[in-house]
Amino acid sequence: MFHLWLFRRTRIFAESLGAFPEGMGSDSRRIPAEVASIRILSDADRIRQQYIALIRSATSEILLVFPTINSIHRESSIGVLEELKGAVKHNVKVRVLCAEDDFIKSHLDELRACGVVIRRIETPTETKFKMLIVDRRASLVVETKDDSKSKFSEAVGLATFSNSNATVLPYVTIFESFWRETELYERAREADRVKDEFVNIAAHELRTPIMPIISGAELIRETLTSVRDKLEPAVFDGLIRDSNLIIRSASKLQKLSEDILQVSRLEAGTFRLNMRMVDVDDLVASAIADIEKKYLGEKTDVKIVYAPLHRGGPMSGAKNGGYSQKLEIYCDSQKISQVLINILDNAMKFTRQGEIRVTSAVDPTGSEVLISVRDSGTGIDPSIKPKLFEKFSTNSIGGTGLGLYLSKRIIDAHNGRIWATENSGDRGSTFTFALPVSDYQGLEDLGNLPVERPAKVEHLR
Amino acid sequence: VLIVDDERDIVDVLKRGLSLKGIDVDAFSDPLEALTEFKPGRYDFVVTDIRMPRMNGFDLYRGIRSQDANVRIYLLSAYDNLQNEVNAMLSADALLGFLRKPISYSELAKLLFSETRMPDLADVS
Repeated sequence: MFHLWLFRRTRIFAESLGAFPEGMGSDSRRIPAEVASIRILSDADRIRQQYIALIRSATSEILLVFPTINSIHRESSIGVLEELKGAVKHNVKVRVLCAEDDFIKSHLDELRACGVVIRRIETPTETKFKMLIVDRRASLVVETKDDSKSKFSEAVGLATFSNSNATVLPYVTIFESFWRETELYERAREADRVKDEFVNIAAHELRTPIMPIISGAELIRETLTSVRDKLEPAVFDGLIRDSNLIIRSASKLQKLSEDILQVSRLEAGTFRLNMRMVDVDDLVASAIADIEKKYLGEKTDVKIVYAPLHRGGPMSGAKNGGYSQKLEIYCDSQKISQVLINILDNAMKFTRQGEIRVTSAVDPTGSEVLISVRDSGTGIDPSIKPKLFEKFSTNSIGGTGLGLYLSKRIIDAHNGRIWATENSGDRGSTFTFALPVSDYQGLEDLGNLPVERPAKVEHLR
Repeated sequence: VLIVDDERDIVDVLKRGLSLKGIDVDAFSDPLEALTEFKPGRYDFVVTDIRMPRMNGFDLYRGIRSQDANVRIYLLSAYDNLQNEVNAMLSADALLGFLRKPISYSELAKLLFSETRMPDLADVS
């Protein structure tokens, strides 16, 4: 056992500690400065005695930090929780900072019921020290040597006891700053909850009126068409144009509200992925079909071509007959499809005429699936290039400025990468995203892909 | 088709829109009334909102399903946070679907037509 006696006079005082609680009775605030002491305790049993005695000596306030869940279990078994309940009965104000989980909740709820104020500590004390401060005049700080041990005596390391202001008051300051921090975290959690609730209500409130607007305008358009003969051609054309305008604007509003809701979800951390194995060719084909439908009758000089390089070469149309290998990725198909549609939509917006080429490939190491969209449009505006994937950095007419931001967040959530490059030589830019195949169920199947795969990938870049 | 939604504008526009497409529509903005008036075998489809006062779409679904095992039922909602509950129900009933608002009457009509085509073909063969 190792004791460090700092002052000669302290020894007298320290010895009297053995006779706790008398040694630190109600007149302890008037301990003369010369008997203030700082001691290091190494014997677990002695630490335990000191710990209990100190709690019993409290007359007005106990501040306590349980560094880990396990420490609460351990100290419950040496009677600490009961002692705390006893202290509350004697009108001692007890504040506890601790980790909290479902397993420990019943213990803590018991304490709460007795009047102990407990707050969840968000920043685990990395040193795992346990801290007890009594009446702002004495402190016991215990090091956790091995948190995996279930016995108090096996888990604790050295401890320092102090009744010197020079150490106790700084500990009080540390405790109070942790306490304030938990307040901030609690407020942040509450704000998150309110925000979540708001997002859900907003989702409902925004979507609900959009539905009758679009349907109502469609009804007008359809009814107009049925009575076309009875109307002046100019009047008919004007009314059709107006109802189209309503439908278009409401659809834009719908898209914007969906984007904003998704951003809110992402930022509130309530964004969820619905992962499953998805056929890359199907994914690309349906995204292309969606875009072609959107631009039906417009952009007739722009052609979208799909080249599944993982099959060994380009093909025309959505399906091919030559190669049977399927390339699948483990992802949220709806969200990845949203990314692809968004990139394709951008490509369409910025391309007046020419080809938009979609390629899919497996990278040379077989660790990533790459899907890229190469357009022959106006290229990336240098002024927005540095913040291309940030919120509201848009240069397109009618864009929400959220598309690429959302795309990046979606790809990030898949542990993938997304980037843009300027095409060398010709005009336009290429957007590529890569998704890991680490979760790929049939990883070995990748070995069966065409051997020319790597060369094709180089071409892709 | 039976349409149930507490939003009168939605009920109205869907009813008129689907009628225009040649679909017979009964529509209610009160789910309890819809359930009282429900007659097994009368409808090919039921489209119901989920969040409604007096009775939610889940209960209405259960009430209808207990009377009619063959009607195809679509739950319609603008809420995302009901997804888990909906998914569990979808996996338990092959004749149940989920539609997210907003959906226009023409999209709905297209869906309903594509659903009816299959049984028609089966009947012919």
